[in-house]
Amino acid sequence: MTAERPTISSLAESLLNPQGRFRTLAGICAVTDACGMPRFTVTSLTADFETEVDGTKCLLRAALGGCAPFGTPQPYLHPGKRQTAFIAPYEYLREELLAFGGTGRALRTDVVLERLPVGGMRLTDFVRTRLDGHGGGALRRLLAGFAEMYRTFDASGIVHGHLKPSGMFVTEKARPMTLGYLHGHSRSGQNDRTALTAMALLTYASACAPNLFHILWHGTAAGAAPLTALLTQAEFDRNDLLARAAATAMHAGGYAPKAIPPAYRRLPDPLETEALLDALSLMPFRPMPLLEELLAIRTPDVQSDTPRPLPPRRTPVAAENGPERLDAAACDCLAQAADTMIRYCKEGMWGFADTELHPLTEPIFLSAGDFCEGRAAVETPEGCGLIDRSGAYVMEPRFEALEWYGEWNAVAACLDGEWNLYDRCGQRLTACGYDWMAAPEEGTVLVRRGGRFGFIDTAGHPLTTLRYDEAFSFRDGRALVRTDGDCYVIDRNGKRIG
Amino acid sequence: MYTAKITREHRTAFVILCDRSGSMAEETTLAGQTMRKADAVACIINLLLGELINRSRRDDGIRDYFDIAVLGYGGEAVRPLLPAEGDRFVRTEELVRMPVATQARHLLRTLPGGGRIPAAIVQRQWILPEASGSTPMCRALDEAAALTGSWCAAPRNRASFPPIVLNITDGEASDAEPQRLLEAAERIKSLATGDGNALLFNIHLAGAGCGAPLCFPGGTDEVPDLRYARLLYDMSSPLPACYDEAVLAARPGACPPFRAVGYNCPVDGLLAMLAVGTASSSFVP
Repeated sequence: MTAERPTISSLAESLLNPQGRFRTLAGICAVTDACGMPRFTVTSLTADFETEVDGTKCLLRAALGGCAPFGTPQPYLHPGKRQTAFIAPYEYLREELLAFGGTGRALRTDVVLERLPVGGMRLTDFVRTRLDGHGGGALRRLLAGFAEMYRTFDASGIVHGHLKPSGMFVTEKARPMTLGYLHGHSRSGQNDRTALTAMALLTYASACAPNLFHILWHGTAAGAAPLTALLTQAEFDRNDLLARAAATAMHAGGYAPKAIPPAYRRLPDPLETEALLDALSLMPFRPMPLLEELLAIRTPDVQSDTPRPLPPRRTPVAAENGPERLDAAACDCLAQAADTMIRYCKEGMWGFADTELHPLTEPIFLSAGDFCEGRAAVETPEGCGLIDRSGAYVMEPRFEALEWYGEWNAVAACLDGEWNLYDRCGQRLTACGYDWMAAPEEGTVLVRRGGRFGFIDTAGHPLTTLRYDEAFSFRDGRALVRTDGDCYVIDRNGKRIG
Repeated sequence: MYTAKITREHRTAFVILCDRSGSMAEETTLAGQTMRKADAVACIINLLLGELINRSRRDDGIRDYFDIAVLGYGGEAVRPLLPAEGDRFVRTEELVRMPVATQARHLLRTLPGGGRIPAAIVQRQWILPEASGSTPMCRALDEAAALTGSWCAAPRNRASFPPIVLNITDGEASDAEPQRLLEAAERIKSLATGDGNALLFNIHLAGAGCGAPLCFPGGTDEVPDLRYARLLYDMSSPLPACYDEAVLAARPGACPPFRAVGYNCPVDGLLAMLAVGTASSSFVP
C-alpha cells in the first residue's frame, strides 16, 4: 500500500502526544475524558476534538477519509478568517497536523480551529439553565439574537447548512453563535431559515413550558410528536405566528406534508421568515396547558437529579383495544415469555404483549429487554428507559444506556457519559457516578472511574475505594485485582486473602 | 446497489475471520517493533474495532451503526472472539461497554525530517493473540456464511448495506480442497440484502522471503501465476464502485473495477487494507 488516510485513532494519538506534531499550535492540549482519551465527536466527514489552545477552549476539526480537507470545496467556504459575530472565530490551518498511519507513515493534514468564547455554553445547556423563572430576559435576548443572526446571514450571503442545536453556542451575553461553519454542505438558504425558526420556536416553547424542555429539544430530532402538539396548541390559541413557526419547523424535521395543515404547507419566503423570527422574539411567554396535556406530561422538577416517573410518550394500546390479540404471523419475531410477558417485533420495532398475545404496548421501542421482576429496559429514539408491567415509564427514556438487573433489583444507567446505580423505582443509589460499571456479581458491582477500579454493593455503597489498576468481578466470594503490577485476590471487604 | 446509508435503523455488519494457526507465531514487524504475526494481527484488529467505535461517536454518544463479529480459526476449532449471545454479533455500543484490558504501547515515531519522537497510546484489547494448530479456513468460511445468512435474513436488515466478511490469513486451508473453499466463498457472496450481495475480502499476509505484494488488483492479469493467489482471487468479491475512491487512495493510478483480495501483504499494510475493507463505515449520513 502506498498511501494512507488519517484515522480517528491516529488523530487522537497526535493530540495526546502533541510535541513536534503541530506546525503553529505549540500550546495545544487535548481535553480528555475520565479514561484519559481525547473528547471528540465525529460526522461522516470530520472529527471534532475538544482542545485548549493557550488557555482558550477550542474545537479542532480534522477531515476524515482523505487529505483533501472537508470534502468538495463550497463556493462560500474559503481559507482564512471570517468575521461576523454569529460565527465562532476560526482559522483554517494548512498541513497543520502530523498524524501517523497504521504503517507508521507520517501524514500531514489540514485542520480548522474554532475558538469558543469565554463564558459561553452550548445552546441546549443555555436554555435549560435559564428555565428557572429568572432567565426570561436572557431567553428573550437569545430569541432576538436568532432574528438578528438570520438577517446577518441573509444579507452577507452566508449559507450554513449545518445549523442545529448541538452546533450552536451561546455567548456570555446571550447571543447565538454557530460552530462548524466550514462544515456546511448545503447551498440551500432554506436550511438557515427552517433551522433558525425551529430553534427559536423550541426556545420560545421551552420558556412557556419549562417542564417540557427535554421532550421539546430531544424529541424533535427523532421526528416525535412535540411539533405536531405545538401546532395544535397554536391553532387552539388562534396564534397564527406560532402555527407558522411550528409548520416551518415540521418542514425542517422532515415531517410528511400531510401532517401539516394545507394552510401552512408553503415554506415562508425570506422576508416572511424574518418577520416570523422577530415576532417570536416579542411574543409574551405564556403557559401552554394544552401542549402539556397533548404530550401527557406531569410537571417534573427540572432541577431534580432523578425526575419523577413519567408515563410513556406514546400511549399503550391495551386499554383501547381491549381483548384484541396480536397477529403472530404479522410479527417479525416473538420472544419466549419472560415474567409473563412476551416481547414482539414488528417492522423492526419492539413492543410487549402478555402470554395470550394481548398487546401491552405498541411496537414503539428500538430495542427491548425481557421483563424480569416486573421491569424491562427499553430503548426509544430519545434514549433508554425502564418500564413497568403497565407499560408506564419508571425511568424516563433519557439515558444513553440502561441495564436492568432484575435479580438484584438494580438498574445501571448512563447519562452524559456517567454511570449510576438506581433502584427499581428509579431512585439513584450511588452518591457519585462512574465511567464504567460491570454487571452485578454476588451482590457486588465492579466500577471504574478515572482508570481506577473498585467495588460497590447493589445498594450503591462503596465496598472498596477506587484503588485497583485492574480488577475482575467477584466469583465464589473472591475477586482478582491488580495494583502496581501485583496481582492478588480480595474478599468482599477488600481484604487481601491470597 | 451499494448505496444504502448506514443508520441505527439500518446497520451494517462486519465479520472478521482471523487465522490463529501455528504459522501465525512467525515473527514480523509492526511500526518498527518485532512481534509475532498473531500479536500484530490482534493489535491491528483491536485498532480497527477502536476505529469503528470512534466512527460511531456522535453528539449524543455512541450510536449503534455496526454489528460486528470476530471469528478466530486455528487447530480444530472456529471460535467467536468477542463474547456475544445468540447470533454472535455485538453492536458497537456493546463493544464499548465490554470490560476488556487495556495496553499501553510506547512507540517511536519518525518525523518527515528524520527526527524521532516518542508517543504513548492506550489500546483496548478485545482480541487476544493466539497461534497454534492447523488452519480450518473452510469451516471458518462456513461459519461466516451461516452468521451472515442469518443477519441478511433478519427483517430489520433487509434494506441495509450488505455485510462485509474480511478473512485474514497467512497460509492455506488445512481442512478443504480448493473446490470446496470456492464453494464456501460462493455461499457467502451469494447472500444479499436489498442493497447488494455480501462482500468477501481475502487478505493474505506475507511470509518470509515472499514476492511482491498484490493489493486490490484490477484484473487477473495483475495476479501472479501462483495457484493460491489465483484461488484467493477467485474466492474474493469484485468491488462495487463505491470502494473505488478508497482503493485509489491506496493505489493511485490503478484502474477499477477492483477485486477484494490482497496477496503477500506486509503486516504493516494490513490496517490500510482493512480500512478499505471497512470503507462502508463512512457511509453514515
